[in-house]
Amino acid sequence: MARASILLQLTAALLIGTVGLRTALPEHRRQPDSWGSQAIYEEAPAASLVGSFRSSVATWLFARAQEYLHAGVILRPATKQEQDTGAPLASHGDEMTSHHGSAETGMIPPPGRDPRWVWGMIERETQPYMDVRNHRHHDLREALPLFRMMTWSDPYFIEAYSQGAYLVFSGAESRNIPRAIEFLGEGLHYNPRSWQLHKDYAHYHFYNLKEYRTARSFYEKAIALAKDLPQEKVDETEFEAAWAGLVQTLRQLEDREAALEWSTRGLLRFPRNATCRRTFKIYGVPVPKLRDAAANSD
Amino acid sequence: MRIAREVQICRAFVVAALLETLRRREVFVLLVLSVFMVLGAYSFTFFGVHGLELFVKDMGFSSVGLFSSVLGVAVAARQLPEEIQRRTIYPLLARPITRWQLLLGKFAAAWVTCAVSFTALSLVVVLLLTLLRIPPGWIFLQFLYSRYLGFMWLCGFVIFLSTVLSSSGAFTIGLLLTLGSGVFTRLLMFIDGTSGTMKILLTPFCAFLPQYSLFDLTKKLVYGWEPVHPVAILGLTLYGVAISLFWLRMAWLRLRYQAV
Repeated sequence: MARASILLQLTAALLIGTVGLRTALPEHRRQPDSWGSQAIYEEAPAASLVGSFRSSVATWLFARAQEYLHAGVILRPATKQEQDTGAPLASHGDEMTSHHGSAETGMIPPPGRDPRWVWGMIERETQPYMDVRNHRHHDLREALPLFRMMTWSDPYFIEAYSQGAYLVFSGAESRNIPRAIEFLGEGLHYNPRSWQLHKDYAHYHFYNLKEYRTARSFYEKAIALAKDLPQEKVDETEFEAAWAGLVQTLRQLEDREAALEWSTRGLLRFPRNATCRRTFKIYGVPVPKLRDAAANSD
Repeated sequence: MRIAREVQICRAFVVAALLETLRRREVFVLLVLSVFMVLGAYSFTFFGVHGLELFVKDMGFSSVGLFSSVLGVAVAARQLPEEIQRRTIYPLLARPITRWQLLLGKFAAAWVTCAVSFTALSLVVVLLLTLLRIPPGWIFLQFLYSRYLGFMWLCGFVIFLSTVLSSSGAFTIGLLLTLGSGVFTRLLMFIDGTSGTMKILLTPFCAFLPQYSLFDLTKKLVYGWEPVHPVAILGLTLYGVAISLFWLRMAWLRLRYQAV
């Protein structure tokens, strides 16, 4: 009797699981930002649940990967007060340049700023702690499997593709640009409307492979996609970098007209952009007044 | 003579507690879960993901730390309330033992049970990792020692909780404060640490906060850091012994005149 009950429960669990997965997965394979995805999630709650689980796993793995890179030292955004009072902020002592986007500091404060005195001294010994200024990174290759797993878990996790390509493939000692581009290509396959991935893809082609034609088409696509998004969804610094990259690419391709046109448009959005201003200087053309440029672009 | 008597009482309680834990098969469940975690993490290699050594080590030791803490809270939380509920405390107190000796015996029983279970779980994980060619460094010994100290705090604190709350209440609050112990110290980080007055005020206050995470060397072990400086281990030892005796004393003050 007991055995029959267990068998019945197992069969029911299998049935519910199979139906759940069958219901959930096909919908979830669609892009989350595509048209009607909200409706899909509302009509198929299982899809939403599975999707949330996958995203959560990917986010957890991403946090883990950040920890791996710093050998267990946890960084956090510095408060305004900390920034004003000169708390040590994270910076790199190796070839990595840009993965700390905002001002960050260590979770465990340095001796001079720790209000706990003896407890802080003990914690700095028993927990991973380092001076976050000019810090170095753990072997970046160790984080590769995590980036691999997080993009399997959530193929729409754009940050994972972007940082994975940068940190693991292009930043590691075994610099492997083709592998980074392949990884980004996979990201673009799942996220064809991501402006960041287009920009990163273009960057690698411009700076590393010197394939200017490919770089141009991807920069143009990145800028077009970013312009369709609400302004708060686009990181201005990154967007300016994409614009500067495109102008530099056009200069390399010796497409004078296009370079001047994109520089003019660039100055309307970023009036102080040095790359755009320099383009006019290189071609011996005076920098247009922004009001005239706006009138022409209209 | 008196110490010998207390050792004898503690030994009796320890044997009883170990037998109880074996009878309940809690350690076996945790052992299976830990093995499952390590092998689960390692199974990704079968799908072509290589270089997972750090991840497997992380999963293994994190699960051992988590499971042994949960077990520790459960064991410590039931020591006194169960005796009262089952009314077995009457024949115990009818014997020539004081309430302090009873408390000390219960503390020793909970602590030894935690330490034995934790050692068993850790050794199984180390064996598995060695088989998978991911051996831990020498810091592993400090990892074990600091956890033993952490269990002293945990047992003392949860036994105190069990004198003021029910068994389930002590378990719930104890688990929350044990697993979330890092939060308290993290909140203090936002206080201006450059002020000398603040340091003088906060230092004694911090001693009584749940600082279980201070005894956790898992991250240093996982990421292959050098062994901790002996002075820090000495400081940790002094603190661990002192704070657990403090909580036991608090429990005794509560239990001394409590009607059972």
